[in-house]
Amino acid sequence: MSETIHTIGFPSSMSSIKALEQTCNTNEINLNSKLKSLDTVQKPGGKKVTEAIFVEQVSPAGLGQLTVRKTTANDGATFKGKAFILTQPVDVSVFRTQSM
Amino acid sequence: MRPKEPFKFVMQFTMTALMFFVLFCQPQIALAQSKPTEFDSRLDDKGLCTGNGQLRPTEYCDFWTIYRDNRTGDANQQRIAADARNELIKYVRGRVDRFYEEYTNKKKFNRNLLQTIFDILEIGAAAAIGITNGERAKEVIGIALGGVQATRTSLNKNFELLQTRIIINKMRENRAQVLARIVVNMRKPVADYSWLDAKNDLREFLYVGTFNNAMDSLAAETGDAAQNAEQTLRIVSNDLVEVPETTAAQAVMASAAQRGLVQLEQNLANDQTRPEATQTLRNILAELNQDAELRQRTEARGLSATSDGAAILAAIIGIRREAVLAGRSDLASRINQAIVAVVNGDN
Repeated sequence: MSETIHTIGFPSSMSSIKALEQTCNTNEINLNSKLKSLDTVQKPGGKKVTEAIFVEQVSPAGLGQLTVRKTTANDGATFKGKAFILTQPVDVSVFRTQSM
Repeated sequence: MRPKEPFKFVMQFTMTALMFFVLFCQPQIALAQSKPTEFDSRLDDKGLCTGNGQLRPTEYCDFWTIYRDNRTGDANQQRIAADARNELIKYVRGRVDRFYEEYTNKKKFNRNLLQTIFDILEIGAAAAIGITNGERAKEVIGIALGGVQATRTSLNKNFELLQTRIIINKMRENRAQVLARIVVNMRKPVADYSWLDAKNDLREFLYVGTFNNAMDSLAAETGDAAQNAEQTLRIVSNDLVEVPETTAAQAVMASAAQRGLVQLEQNLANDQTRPEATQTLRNILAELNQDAELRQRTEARGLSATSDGAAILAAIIGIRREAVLAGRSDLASRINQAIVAVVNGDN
């Protein structure tokens, strides 16, 4: 069965990595989907946004438990991506903690 | 020959001062710095703490023995092992901190020593020019002094104090990051964070406190920053829905709603708890229907007060998802609020 993908954008003015973490977790819950990637992109008009891609889940269990940190070498992240923090691109690592 | 004697005296005095400086100051600092034995790459803890191990008898070995003997035991023993592991971490951290202090002090001292040597040479040469009578001799000393000053300028340019400070700051930042990780992991049981895991983190804690590592780290970061700045961003469709930054209150509410839904899903799967879970979901539906905008959406999905619990749960999740994808995160927040209100029995 193919995965159902949902893509949304976060504002480039995101205030901090902690705020990005909260936004990712809340949207995982609201979309009932697992975050798969984060990337810095641009709209045709030049507006910069952080693109977040989610994979839809059947059960709500285990969602909204992400930790986002600035990337460091060999940090063992679930996945690495890029995000705008205060309009500047930042390399981030996303960690998924144990499910509830 | 008379005019040459004061010159000779100045040069001898300068050279003696230099030798004193190098001989008596440098070795004291150099001797103090050595890598902690715990990180000897040729020996593991067993080698260090058994037989004629280099670390016997030390507190390190006492804690390590307690850890080893209790690591795989019952719950109580594992708690003892976790305490011993944490004591080992504190012990080795202290040793690494001492190594770091000595390492950075040596770097700072070497810089100051070099500057002092240049001062002595310059002052000596300047004094010799003042004392010497012969024009040719003055010219030669003047050229030599010019050489010393040029070398000093070049060294200062390449190893400026500010740059050294930046590198030390980078080392401090890297150390703080690794230490934060270790402190968080100290709360974990030994099954999730063993002493070997901790030792690997402590080894990283040791290495990030060195100049070479800080230089590598700075080089990597500046390279990444340059790459980011130059990167051409991928163009996406204008249709991409933008979701606002979540506030702390919204995040807490979403998390509470999530816990409620997960619990309801589990209760629906159990024959004994299903009726109560179904009733709670019907109450949530009633709460949602008090909001005109949300009522439209629940009615569009054909939900009623007699709907099946699983159907209501699936519909709530679906409506909330559609709201976000339509750029209506505010609606999703209202749904979470309704879930929490009912689950917490506020209604």
